[in-house]
Amino acid sequence: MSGNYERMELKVGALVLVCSLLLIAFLVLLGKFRPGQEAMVVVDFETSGGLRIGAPVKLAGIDAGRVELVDFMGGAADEDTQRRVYVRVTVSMKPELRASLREDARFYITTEGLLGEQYVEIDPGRADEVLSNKPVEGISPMRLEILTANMNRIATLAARMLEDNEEDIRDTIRDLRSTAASAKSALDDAKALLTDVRQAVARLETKAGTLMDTAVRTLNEYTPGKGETGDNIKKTTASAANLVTSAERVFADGKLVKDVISDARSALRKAGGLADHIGVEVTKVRKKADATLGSVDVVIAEAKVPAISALQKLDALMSSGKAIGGDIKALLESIRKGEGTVGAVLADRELFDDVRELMKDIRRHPWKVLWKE
Amino acid sequence: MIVAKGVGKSFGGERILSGVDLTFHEGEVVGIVGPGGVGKSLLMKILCGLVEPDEGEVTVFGRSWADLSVTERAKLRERFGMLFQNYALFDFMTVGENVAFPLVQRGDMSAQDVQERVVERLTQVELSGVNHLYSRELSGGMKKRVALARATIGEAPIIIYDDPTAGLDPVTSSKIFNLISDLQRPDSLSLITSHDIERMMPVCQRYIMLYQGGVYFRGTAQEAKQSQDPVLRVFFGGDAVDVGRRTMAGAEGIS
Amino acid sequence: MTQMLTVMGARIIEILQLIGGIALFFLRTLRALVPPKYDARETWRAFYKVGVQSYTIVILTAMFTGAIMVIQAGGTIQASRATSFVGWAAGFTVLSEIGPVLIGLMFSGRVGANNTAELGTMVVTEQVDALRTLAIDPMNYLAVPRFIAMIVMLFLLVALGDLFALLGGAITSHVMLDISYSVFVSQVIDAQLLDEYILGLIKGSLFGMSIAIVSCYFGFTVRGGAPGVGRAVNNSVVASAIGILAIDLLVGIIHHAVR
Repeated sequence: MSGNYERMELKVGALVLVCSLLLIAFLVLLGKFRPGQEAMVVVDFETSGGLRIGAPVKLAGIDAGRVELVDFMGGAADEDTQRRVYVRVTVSMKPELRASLREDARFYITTEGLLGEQYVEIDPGRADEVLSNKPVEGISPMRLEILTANMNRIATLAARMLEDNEEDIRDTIRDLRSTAASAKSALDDAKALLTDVRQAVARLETKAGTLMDTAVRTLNEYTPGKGETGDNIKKTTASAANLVTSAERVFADGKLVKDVISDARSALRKAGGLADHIGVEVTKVRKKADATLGSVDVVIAEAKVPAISALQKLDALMSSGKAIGGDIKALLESIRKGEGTVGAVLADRELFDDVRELMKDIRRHPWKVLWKE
Repeated sequence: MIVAKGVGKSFGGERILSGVDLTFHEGEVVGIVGPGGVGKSLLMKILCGLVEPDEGEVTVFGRSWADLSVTERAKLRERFGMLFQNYALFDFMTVGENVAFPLVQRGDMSAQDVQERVVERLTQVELSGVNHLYSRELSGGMKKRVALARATIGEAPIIIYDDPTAGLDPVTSSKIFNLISDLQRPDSLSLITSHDIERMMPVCQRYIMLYQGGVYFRGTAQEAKQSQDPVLRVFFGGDAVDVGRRTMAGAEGIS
Repeated sequence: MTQMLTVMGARIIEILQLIGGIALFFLRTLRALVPPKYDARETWRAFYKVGVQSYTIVILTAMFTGAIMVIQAGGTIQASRATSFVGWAAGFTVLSEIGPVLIGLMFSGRVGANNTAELGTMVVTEQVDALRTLAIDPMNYLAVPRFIAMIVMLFLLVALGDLFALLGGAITSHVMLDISYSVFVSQVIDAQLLDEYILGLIKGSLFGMSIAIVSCYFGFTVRGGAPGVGRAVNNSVVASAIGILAIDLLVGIIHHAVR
């Protein structure tokens, strides 16, 4: 009998034990039953982006907790934060990890992999103050489909623009280059010419001076001669002969002056032609730049005024030419350095081709923007 | 020992007992007789405090049931041993456990002493060797004897035998009454209800007859037989007039 | 007309008396719980009768329940291609509602009926009176162990049944909807059903309590011999079923309100 009784106790005990183990297993498996206290953080988002209760929470990529609640608040105003709340997400974290969050901590809803599970990623922040218990404003997730659509549109536009204006862009670059080169050689020519003109004028002055001295002296010697007429006449005749010689020399020198003058004139003409050339080039550049790059217009306008005034004066030409050269150089420099995206694209043929390929690729597979295979 | 004054009880609007005055002393063996359904068992239950009377009061050892708290009643009931009409053996216990139960419940004896006493008592009722059986495995007569053993093992000062021979054959009945006689101690009070007056005779010193809701007769068997009252003559003197009724009352389990 | 009203009134009074009697019995049972004075042996016996002798029927019921839930939901789920909801749907309904209720009903049919019959027989054969003559309070000795055993065991049996209900659901989903077991399990786990699970367990204990009270009450109040026991068993099962459904409704309302 007592054996019976013990067997009964054994069976009851076994049943109770099995059921209790099941109970504990279910409690642990089914949910929130975890030992230890959890710290809660409330985060408001514009949209949940499909975040689900139970989704992981990662702090700098490390598992730190889970999403406890996702509530749609419908734009109710929060008195604490003076914000309208659309989606309120309550996140539970291990207390020690919660303590590491700073006031400028940022909360994102992002995706694991391309079409993977939504989760909350936390950037702990670097501020000195610890994150308060107020609801935090989270950074709302970019809706994948909208993002893809936008990227696709931008890629299409960029690619079409590059394709349509390919010739123009290439010409522009070539023109800009040749303009810069000719402007430089014109400047060099003008400099050399000016030096020649100066030397010629100096030589002319010296010769004219000596000629005048000789003429004055001859005149003086001739005028006072009475008593000694014979001698004097002889002398005079000799002097006259000298004079003639001198005059002949002056004459000869006059030819030299003529040469000098004609030289100067031709130099001037040349300079004029050069200035015209520069003007034409600059206008061309401007036209092309107008067509493709609106921003270049201003620079061109600035360069145009001194270029025209260069036609009138050699000195002005010099300084103006220098200014043009400087501006164009700066322009080219800035283009070369790649200021602005378009500049960078245009600066390099290789890069241009690369970009075009990329755009085509993106148009074919828009998701590559987000995720590189 | 037990004094009942003006006891009355109704069930469902039907008056079963009224104005019953009784006094019992120690050392007596009293037979309570009367036709089936007259309220013998009910009276027994009122006497031992299992049923509260609607009117009147019952005093046991000078203390009225009505004045006692639940725990005091329980305490007082320990002074009763009772054999129930329907055996009332605990069917979830073995015979040995049933017999030992009053002693175990009282809790003043070692398990070994209890065991010895049980074996002794079962031997007395000629049932040695059935300790491990359950009551459902026993015959009616055996059950009665086990119930008898259980009722008497506590050696309570008052023992009530409620129809100890109901539904038993005459031979077994005689045996039961003999056992009751054997187990009777000089200082205790025994009350026996039965219809089987013939077999009760050797055991009981005096009788109380219930009839029509009250005490109809009290006295010895001799007095009853000599009485001119037809009811008494039929009941005591005559043969087994109402065997059929007796059997019915026994089977129904309520009286 | 008057007679009809009289009959109706009598029935209503009868039912109110019954409810009052059960309520009083409940209070007496609670009263008997303190001080905790109950027979250890009898308590073990109650645990055995209540738990060990009923877990097979609980397991069977639970497996069928889980299977039925999946079959019921299966058509809709297949039509809407929402196969990822199978685990959730089965888990939700089984854990919080159908599981505890069906297990409770089966439990009441087996253990409750058995208990009423047992206690009824004890009353009819005067075993209860015998206990009282032996200075034992039947409330302490008989009612309290059963009360405790049924509350504890039905709580635990619901835990056991939940496993088999989900197992039944998993097998059915695998066969019917071609959902692999691991997927089903992960769906159930991901569904965040802890609340429902605990709700089911609480329901289980409350059902156990009501079955204990009702079956003991009907057992102790048996009148009229063996036929009376039969009537009492019948009434006990019906009353237990009503009690289970009423408690289920009540708990559902409270749970809804609290949320």
